[in-house]
Amino acid sequence: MNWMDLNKTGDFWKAWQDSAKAFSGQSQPATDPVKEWWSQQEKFWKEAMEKTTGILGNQPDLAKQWQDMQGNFMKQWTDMAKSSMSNPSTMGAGSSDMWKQFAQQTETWYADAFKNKLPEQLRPHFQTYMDMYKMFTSQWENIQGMIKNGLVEPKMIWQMINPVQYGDAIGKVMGFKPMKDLDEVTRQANRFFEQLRNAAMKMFPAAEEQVLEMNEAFNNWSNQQSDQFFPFLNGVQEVMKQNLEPYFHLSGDDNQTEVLRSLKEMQFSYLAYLHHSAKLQKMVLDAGATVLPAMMQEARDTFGKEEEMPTFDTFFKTYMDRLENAILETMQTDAYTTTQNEVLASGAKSKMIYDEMLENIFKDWPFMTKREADDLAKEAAQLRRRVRDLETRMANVPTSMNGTATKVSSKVEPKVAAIIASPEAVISRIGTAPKGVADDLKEIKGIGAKLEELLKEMGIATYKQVAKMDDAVYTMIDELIPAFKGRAKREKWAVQAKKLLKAKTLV
Amino acid sequence: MANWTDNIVEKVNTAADAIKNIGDINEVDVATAPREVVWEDGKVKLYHFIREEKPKAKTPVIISYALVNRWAMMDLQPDRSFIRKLISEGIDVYVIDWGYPTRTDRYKSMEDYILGDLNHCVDYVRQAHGIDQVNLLGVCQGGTFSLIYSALNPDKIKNLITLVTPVEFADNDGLLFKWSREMDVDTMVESFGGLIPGDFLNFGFDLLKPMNKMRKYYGFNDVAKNKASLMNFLRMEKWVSDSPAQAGETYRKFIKDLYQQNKLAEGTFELGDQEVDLKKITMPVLTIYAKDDHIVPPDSTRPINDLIGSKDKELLEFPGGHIGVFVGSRSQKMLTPAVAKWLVDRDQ
Repeated sequence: MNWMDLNKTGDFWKAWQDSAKAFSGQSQPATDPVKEWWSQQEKFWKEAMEKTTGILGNQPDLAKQWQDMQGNFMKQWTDMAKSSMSNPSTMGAGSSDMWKQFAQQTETWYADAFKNKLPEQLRPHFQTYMDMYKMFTSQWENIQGMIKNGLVEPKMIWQMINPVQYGDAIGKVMGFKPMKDLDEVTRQANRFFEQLRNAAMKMFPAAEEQVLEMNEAFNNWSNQQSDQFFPFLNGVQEVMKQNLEPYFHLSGDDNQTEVLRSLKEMQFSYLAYLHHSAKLQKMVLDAGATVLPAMMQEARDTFGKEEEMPTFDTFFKTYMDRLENAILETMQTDAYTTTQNEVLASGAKSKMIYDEMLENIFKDWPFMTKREADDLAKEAAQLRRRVRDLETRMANVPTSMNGTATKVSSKVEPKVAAIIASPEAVISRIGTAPKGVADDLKEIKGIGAKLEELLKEMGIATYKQVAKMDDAVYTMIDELIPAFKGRAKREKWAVQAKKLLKAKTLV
Repeated sequence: MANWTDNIVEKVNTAADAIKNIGDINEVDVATAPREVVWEDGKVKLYHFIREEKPKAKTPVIISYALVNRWAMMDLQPDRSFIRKLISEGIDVYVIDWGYPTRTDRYKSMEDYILGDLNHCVDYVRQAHGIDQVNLLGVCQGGTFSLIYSALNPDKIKNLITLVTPVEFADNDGLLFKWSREMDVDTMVESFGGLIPGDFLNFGFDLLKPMNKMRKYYGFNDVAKNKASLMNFLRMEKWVSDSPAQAGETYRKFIKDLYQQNKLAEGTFELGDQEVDLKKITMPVLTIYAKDDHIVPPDSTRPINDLIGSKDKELLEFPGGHIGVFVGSRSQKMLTPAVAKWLVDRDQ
């Protein structure tokens, strides 16, 4: 259990206790549910105390703190509860603010504790949910009031609910980064690129001309497009900055030009990416912005006529559904698909340029670059393919020739032709026999007429090939022709063939 | 006064239970049915689930889950586990765990998965049980793999079951299909360094129903009141966030040949230089789709039975969504027993 949670627990129990103590002047008797509740509480806290001793056993300080806190709380709580039961008049309604505060504290504590148990990647989703929920609960009285009084023009609504906050919430649900003030973003982006340029000039004095050129080009571009800047620029730029800075020190002289070129290209493609992203977000946020005013207008039209004012839960859930429908409607359009593809394409381009830049930066360093790792992965893929080819051939080996395959291949028709037609795997290690050339393999001890025929069907026809046989080839022959298993190795065919080959050359 | 008392008793009790429940949870466990690894190659493993009684059907079933997300969905919570239920209904169960591909797997192809891993698993089970044919149950993308495999190796598969499996990619207005059709997949694969991150895939699925990831938190404050419901909620959350990346080469072919060119349904799909003709699937086939599936809509699943050559084929509609097939109470009560019965009936 999280220590912070326990403190919060203590806080809200204290608030509850205070509020309970504040109640007075009521004369209702204690009821059975209260007694039952109390006994449950007593049991729970007792159990909790015992449990935590074990859990926090290896953290004595923490355990003591927790126990002290609980003990203290228990004592106070017992006193208070006992007195309220013996004197029911101290339990009573009233002090609604205290109660509200307690309920809110409970909710906050509860949400935090719950969030901490969620997988880390999902916590932002939950936080977004809570933010959205709070945004609406905090305005619920106002929303109701406006509906009742017919004050449902969008501009009135946006005075009550901050449109930026509203847009942020939708953006977060969609997984967008929050939008902020465009001018500030432009200013910060310019400042970032200026720092980047200065750093580049400092690192590579020889490249000054290029840097200045880049500077000018960038300024022209950003002046034209400044209103299109997308606000999460700031955050991402920070990351880029942190990522880029160290590399200026690493790059060897030869790579400077390439690195600078990549840097320049990346700026433009990255800005293009932001530009497309902003466009995409705007489409979604525009769709979302119509939902709340539409709902409030409809509620005004029906309220007091045929329908009651909706409950908060109904309103909130309906809002979510309608928001989704509005966004999905936008996403169904071809314009959205096009823009989304532009975002993906420009983001991908930036990433590739970035990778290329890293590749150049680390060219002279003893790390394996992406390109090199890529080659290895390709090689691994080819090996997998070769293994599979071999396995397929093995599986097709005829039953009579392969004892191991009979179990799984009883239904497979013998396919001698398959082996003869594709013997590369078997004989690739020992080379191929030129067409029409064949030695008398029967000269080799252990090879009779039948075996010679089988070997020739597999493409093994010369002393030269047999002379190159090693253990792996012997094994392969054993597996393909189990009837003569072990013979090739036992009779040392390769040694014999070498002698025969030598004798033949001498003749 | 009575209301106030009830109210406060309820609130405080809820809070107290929640403290206890939330505090008690140290680990969220999924996929707890006992099993052993019987075969493995690199990151891919084949599990055999341990059973106490003799199975009713002598032919075991191999489950081939999607590469997207994890097979743990089939055994998410002990009391609503597709796998446990299948076992208790008398079926001997194997599951292929595709593992978590890394950058070294960037060129791992559909050939590698289907002609390599899947084939190895099938051969292993055939050999281990001394049988010629096994049952194959494919889920989603793993179902598409199973169809392809069964068309290429009809002699090795006794019965085939596909669950929420896409095969018809053209006549479909679903956003995933629309977007995938126009996606520049080569650029995507290259820019991701050959490995498509799980987050990217999830982001796409999330967009199909953008508010689903909010809706699930409605009433979260009631969830923790009950320890079982809290655990089950957290199990699902754990599964959602557990998304392996996908090997770029496999993703490329899946998007290009299937989403973009609909080759499997049109009979032009090739794997490892072999043409894949779904008409060669002649074994009994059970096709299960979810009525409200927004990820693999019925339109993309139902045509399976028209494309295959089997005479014994059934189409089963499940009332629910893509995930409900595995964890809903209806799944436990209706679907899994029906699947088991279908297999037992065809075990001769």
